[in-house]
Amino acid sequence: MSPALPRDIVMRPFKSSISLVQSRIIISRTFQRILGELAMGRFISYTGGSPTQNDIYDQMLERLCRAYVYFVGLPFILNHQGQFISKSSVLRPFFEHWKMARDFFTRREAEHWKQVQNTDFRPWIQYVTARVGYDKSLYDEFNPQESLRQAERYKCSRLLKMGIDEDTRADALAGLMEKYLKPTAEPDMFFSVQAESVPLFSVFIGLDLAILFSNIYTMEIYRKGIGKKLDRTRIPAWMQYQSARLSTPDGVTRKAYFDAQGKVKFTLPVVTDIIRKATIDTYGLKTYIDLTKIGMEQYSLEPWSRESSDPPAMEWLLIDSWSYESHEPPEMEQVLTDYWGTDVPEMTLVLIEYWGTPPPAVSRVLYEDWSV
Amino acid sequence: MAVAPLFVLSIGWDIVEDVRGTTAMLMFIMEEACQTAMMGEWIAVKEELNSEAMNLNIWIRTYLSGQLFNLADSNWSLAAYPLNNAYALFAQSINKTLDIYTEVIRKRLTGG
Repeated sequence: MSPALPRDIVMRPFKSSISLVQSRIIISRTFQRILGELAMGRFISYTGGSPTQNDIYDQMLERLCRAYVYFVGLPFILNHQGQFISKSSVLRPFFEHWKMARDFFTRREAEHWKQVQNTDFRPWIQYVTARVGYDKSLYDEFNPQESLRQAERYKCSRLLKMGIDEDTRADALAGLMEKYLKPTAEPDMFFSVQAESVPLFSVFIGLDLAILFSNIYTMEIYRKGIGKKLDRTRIPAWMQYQSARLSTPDGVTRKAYFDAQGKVKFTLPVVTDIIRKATIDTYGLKTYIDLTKIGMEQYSLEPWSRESSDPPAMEWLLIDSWSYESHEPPEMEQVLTDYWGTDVPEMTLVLIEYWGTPPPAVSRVLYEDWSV
Repeated sequence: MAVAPLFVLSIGWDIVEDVRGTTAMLMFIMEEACQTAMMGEWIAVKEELNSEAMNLNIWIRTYLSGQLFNLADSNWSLAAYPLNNAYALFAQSINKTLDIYTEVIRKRLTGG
């Protein structure tokens, strides 16, 4: 055992206090580091578009966020930011999850800790922390005014005090919010807190809440974005990879296949600016397209020329229905005689996207330049 | 007794290192939280989740970038000099980016 050096004896009081602070920050940083890595993986899987991977990341992120809440101390968070949480449409559902813990353990206690299936707290860490929270009565009713007053004791001076930014644009933003966005929720309290349960070492509550809330907000936005993405690509299974045929009254026919997202591409000669109507047929399910509403751009290489129609190209056209009913053939307004002649310009691409939730289905048609 | 000044210097250097590291780590954690939230903000703007994007926009400005700038601009952060300047600039750049996002949403909502 090595003797204590004079230097160590001098440093000991200071070292012990600063190392306590450092250890506390290191724990926060560790949580943030894991959350940050998961968030980056979530971002990549979101842009990559793998639903299974998205779900896995979602579950991991949520579990870790809940574990972090238990570490910081649920009552302390609610004491400190309870009003804010209760008004937030994102944070409120996340924190209301802890009502489940109270209900679950109350039910178990009534059943003498038997015969109640645990479906809500699957990971052992969630179960243990929820149990600790229940044993310490973290879920009883409380008085918000009193708890906020008590929480003042634990604030970390002005170092990380939560306050309003002195940005001059705050008024403009508030006005914009008031004008266009709806209020989120009614400002009532929903949680219970006992001030004695607040851990004393939560002096870095501002730091913890910054880490925690940023991840909760981001997680929620990913979920909403994924929901929007799924709505956009939801097509009937039979429609995927099914062949479709485009035909015009003057005999132009093209065959193509729907892809997994319900898109199908047809290549047409640019002289279709004279062809007014086309039929798309996929095993008897038909729809008619008015090509005059789509618009196109006509390119010619020698000499170089470029003409845009009205409406301009790249304009989406909604097709509101597919049907098995027999329609009269579209009128042929102009008969083409020799459109495969030497003056045929570059090709144009028609893109048809099956759109929306069936039924009724909605499709979109797009003309794009194929030659570039 | 040439050891005494070195002894004092050594203690002093330890204290400076600890305080400096702790202060820098505080700002670093705030900066990382900014980045996480900005990923969500970008997704919200891209997917046209206007309400969520504006809520998060104001929250970041109020609680993350604003707080980081206040901290980096205060006398406390001089302990981490010159890192405090870097973090202050980072907070300002986040605010600029949020301004652009706000303008995008404003145009989207007002139609120009």
